[in-house]
Amino acid sequence: MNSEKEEILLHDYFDNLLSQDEQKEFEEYLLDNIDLAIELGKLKNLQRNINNLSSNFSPPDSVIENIINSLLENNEQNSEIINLDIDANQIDNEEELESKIEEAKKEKKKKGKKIRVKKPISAKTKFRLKKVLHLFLFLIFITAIGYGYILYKAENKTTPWQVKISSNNEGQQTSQIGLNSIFTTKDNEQVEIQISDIAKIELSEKSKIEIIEGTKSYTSIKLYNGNCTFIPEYNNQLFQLKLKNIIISSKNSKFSVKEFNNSVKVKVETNYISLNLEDADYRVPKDYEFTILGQNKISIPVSNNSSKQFRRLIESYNITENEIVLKKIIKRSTITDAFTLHYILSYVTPEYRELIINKLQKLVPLPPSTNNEDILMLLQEPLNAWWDEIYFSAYK
Amino acid sequence: MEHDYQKLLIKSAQQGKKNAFRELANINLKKIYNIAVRFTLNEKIAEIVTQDIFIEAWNNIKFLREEQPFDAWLKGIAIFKLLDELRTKKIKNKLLEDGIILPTDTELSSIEKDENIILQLPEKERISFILHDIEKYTYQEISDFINDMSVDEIKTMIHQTRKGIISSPKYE
Repeated sequence: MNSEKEEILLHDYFDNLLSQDEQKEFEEYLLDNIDLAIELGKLKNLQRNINNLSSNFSPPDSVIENIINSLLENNEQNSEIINLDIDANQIDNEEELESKIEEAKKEKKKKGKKIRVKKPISAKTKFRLKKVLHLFLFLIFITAIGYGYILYKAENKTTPWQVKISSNNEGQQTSQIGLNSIFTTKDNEQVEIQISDIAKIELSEKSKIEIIEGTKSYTSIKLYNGNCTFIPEYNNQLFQLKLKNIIISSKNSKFSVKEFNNSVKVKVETNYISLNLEDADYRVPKDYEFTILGQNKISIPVSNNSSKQFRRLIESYNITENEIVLKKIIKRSTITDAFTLHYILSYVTPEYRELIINKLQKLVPLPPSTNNEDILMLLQEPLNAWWDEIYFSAYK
Repeated sequence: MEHDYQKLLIKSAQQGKKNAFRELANINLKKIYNIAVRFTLNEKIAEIVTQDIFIEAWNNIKFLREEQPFDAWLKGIAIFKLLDELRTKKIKNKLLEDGIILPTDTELSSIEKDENIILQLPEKERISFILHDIEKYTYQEISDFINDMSVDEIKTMIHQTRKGIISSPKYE
């Protein structure tokens, strides 16, 4: 049985609260104390199990809607209340503060207005809060480095992944796939692959994938052929799909890849995906789709909500790159087609680029940080900033 | 070229865009909800507190500085709200009054053994253990959250809780 002092040292060691010298001393002490070493092992095991605790409880679907509805109700109420705010931190003199409060109360009685007094924070509390924040940030940093290393080495992987295979002939089967393995499906099979609690991949038709990486922060697969849908579980983890020489990255974005008449179509259903092509990077938002042409090229992304006419013009321009078609595209585009115009900017001559900029500005004005010249010169930051502006006005 | 998606959402929410906040809430909801369930041991109470947490976050998101990690900030709001609920039992009493929960409701349980061990700990031990060993707050921070306990008292409690768990036959 360990003494009280040994127990305290053990837990301090476990919590990384000992200095380097103290740690070394304790580690040497452990060599001659099997009981203590066993207890440390049990603590480490407990910590490992806790770190792997998944989120077992699922909130009801109505929670988000209730939150948003409350925000909308709050907005309506706040517009009827006028606040006379008094920040006590700006007033050193207590007498002055008291008289300001009295004045505000009189105002309230006269006009029926609500007053708020921000309570003063003492210097001691401010100092303590700052100290806690610095210590917290430092501990987060140290913990992140140590934790990241240990986790990456031992516990970070999400493989093997659970696989559910459904087919008409053979009912349902389950299996697993591990890192660096290749998985293929047959013609009439529907496959669902669960990547821990991070995401799901659905495969159908004759699909072939290879698992390149499977950790809790990063998942990567290569799709050789077939149909694949990626469904995230809203946890901000990075998923990459490699297809020919194109890398599709998703954080919380649901998208699908489908083989269709000897070509491959990519459809974005939620948020946006990032594309990494050999000579360019681009983001494609939800409701947009494109086709992969060759090893490293894509068609112009177009929205599912664009008019039939506009989509036909884009299809035609994809093949012919005809200037008359381009002029029609610019003329007939609406706010729904803003991202399509934004994409085309990088692939036309400066003369047409100017026309596109003029048209796109009428749909979504340039953000204050950019100007026409920056866009004309295809500077990356201004292009990104305008993309963000289009995204938030399209999806507010 | 890649922008951090969550940073974009925060920036947009700070400009008052509710859809961006909805996305932020979606991303963080499950994590916050599970902390709330572990604190309150009741999914209905956890649901209401979780809603309050996100509403508070929305009301204060404009004060969030760029260098502050959103996850840690949101978790801080969650801990304050949950500790307040455990102290006052305002939401629990309201739900009991409205008959939405009953005093005879069965204890919460999970299919995971480790989760159950935590859920069955007495309140003070459970909260301290969750804050330190799961949510990674320091002893000093926990003492600041739980005003009536010193750092040493919290340390001792957590040591005893760990010892209790690892020596329990349920844990073997």
